[in-house]
Amino acid sequence: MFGPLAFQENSESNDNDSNYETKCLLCNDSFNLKLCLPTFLKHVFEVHNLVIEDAQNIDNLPEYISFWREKFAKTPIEQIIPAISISLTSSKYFVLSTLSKDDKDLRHRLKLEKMLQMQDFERNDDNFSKQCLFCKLNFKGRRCDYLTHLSEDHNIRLGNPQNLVYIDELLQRISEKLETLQCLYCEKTFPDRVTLKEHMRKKQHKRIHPSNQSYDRYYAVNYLDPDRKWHNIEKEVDVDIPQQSGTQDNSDEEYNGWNEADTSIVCLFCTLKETDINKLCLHMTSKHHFNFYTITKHLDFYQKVKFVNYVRRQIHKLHCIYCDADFENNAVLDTHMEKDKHYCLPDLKVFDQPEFYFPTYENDSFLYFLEEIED
Amino acid sequence: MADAAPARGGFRGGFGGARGRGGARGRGRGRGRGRGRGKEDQKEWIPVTKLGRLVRDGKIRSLEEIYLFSLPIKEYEIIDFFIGSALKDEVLKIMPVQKQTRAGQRTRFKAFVAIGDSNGHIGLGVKCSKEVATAIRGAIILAKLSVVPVRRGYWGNKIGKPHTVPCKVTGKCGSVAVRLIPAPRGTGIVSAPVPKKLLQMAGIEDCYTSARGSTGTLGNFAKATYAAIAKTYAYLTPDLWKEMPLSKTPYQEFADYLAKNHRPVTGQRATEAI
Repeated sequence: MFGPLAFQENSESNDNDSNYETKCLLCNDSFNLKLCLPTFLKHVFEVHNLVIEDAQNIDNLPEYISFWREKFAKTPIEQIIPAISISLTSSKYFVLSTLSKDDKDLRHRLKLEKMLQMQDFERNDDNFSKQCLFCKLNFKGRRCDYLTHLSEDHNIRLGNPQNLVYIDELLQRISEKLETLQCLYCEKTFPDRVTLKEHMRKKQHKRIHPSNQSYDRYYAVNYLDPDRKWHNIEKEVDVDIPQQSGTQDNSDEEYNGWNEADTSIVCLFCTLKETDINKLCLHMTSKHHFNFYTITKHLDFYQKVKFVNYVRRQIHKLHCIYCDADFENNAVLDTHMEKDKHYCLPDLKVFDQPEFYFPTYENDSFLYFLEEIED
Repeated sequence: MADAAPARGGFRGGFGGARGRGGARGRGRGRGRGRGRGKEDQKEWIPVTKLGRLVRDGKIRSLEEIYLFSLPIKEYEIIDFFIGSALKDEVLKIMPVQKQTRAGQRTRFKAFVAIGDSNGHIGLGVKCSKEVATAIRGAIILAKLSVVPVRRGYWGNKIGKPHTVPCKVTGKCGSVAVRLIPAPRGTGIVSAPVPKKLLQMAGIEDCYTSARGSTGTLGNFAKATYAAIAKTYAYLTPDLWKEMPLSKTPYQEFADYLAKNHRPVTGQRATEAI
């Protein structure tokens, strides 16, 4: 018939150029922060007398700008951001920099989130392929298995793979070092590969020097605190202030904090998305004159499931749900169903068929909330 | 990632470990624990609980005998002993949290891990730590300690293997309530991504779900699903009405064996410092 259908996940397509369209923090002009960053910076400098320090190194600049936009909407900029006056022009310039605590925390938080996102990708990505730095093995699979191979078979000790991030870049650096015949640990140069390998083996230099700060960015622990690196964090003793209820390990309270956007549900008849099933049903009642609750009140759970899958299939095929007439597009179909009042329940045996037990759309979130629909 | 030796950060010491060259070797660079020569750890389990002792000495034949008496499992090695090879863990999320310590606010990594053998066992664990690897390892241990059996049943005809939940069950955590509803064979798991992963790891092939509350709080959503799955064996269905004779608990049955061979260890088991 037709292949598996799925609704498009809206938030999954990250890093499109369009995702960088953001409104300016002090006015309503929109800029593409990826393609036109200099234009944006020029705009805020000339129009708003604002300077953003080190803008190109801020992770997730759109979110950074939205944060400040919200803040400036509530409090005027003069009250929260320090300004410097230049006597030549006798005008004040506001500077958004890490001198302000909010700004520092924000930049740090964005950096940490970006790092975790990258680490999550690297943890789950199966399509990593690279030749081993030391043997002829052509590796394909997960990065953590590649690193385990390096540590077990060649004794290159970089640390537990789960603590590492930006692994591709790290491996690139290491392979460059080896190609220029430099030792990984002490960075001395050797005349040829054999001598280099002997040196690294004898002196146990098949690892990174702990004091070499240029490798700090590859270890997740260094992103915990903007001011302290792993040496100091290791020394911290986590003696928790005991909570009132004495929360134990793995109790229900521990599961709080992981919040993401609510699942979005697509309307049965048009492309509107809502996060609350009852709001969506209100939409269907007002726009399509289809009160899901009253129309399906007498059906049991399984019949409701079958009905939803039936409607999804009909609408996908551009057929009317009541009379099964064929139409060219959604608009014409919608007009027909509205005019002839076919936004209603067809005969039971039309949809009460075993084939409709199976979801028409693989990720049809309407089915997850069927029992929560109220009057 | 399998929870074998590599996850413990155990690296084979260079040259058979005989040359203990400098303390710097095991240190730093955020490596987690530099201890252990790897694979021998698995044989070194010294049980501290009576149940652990009985398991280690082979007196208990399967995990189900422990579940029959609802005995609390305090050592994760017990789970490893019976189903360790089939268990697969999956990191659901690593997120930063602010912990309040005596020194002030500190950011730490919190790991959410689910573990299951896709054939009737599921566990869920959460742990917080300075290093990602430590958090994951701690969460895996807690997940193993929380492993529960999953009862599967049929939707209609009782042919083939059980494939869905035996009846409608509900689990709740925080504001989220999750209801699992039996589905016919071939339906697959009809649910949001996070509960779907848990249901797959539990070995449930077909299931409808119904969620109430703020499903954006995924931690609670996961725990509620786990609670619902755990309820499958708590629900008394008519086919379980038959009266079974009471049997002796392992502690009773092997009481003299324990008296002879088990010396209770005083004090807490040393947990890893964070």
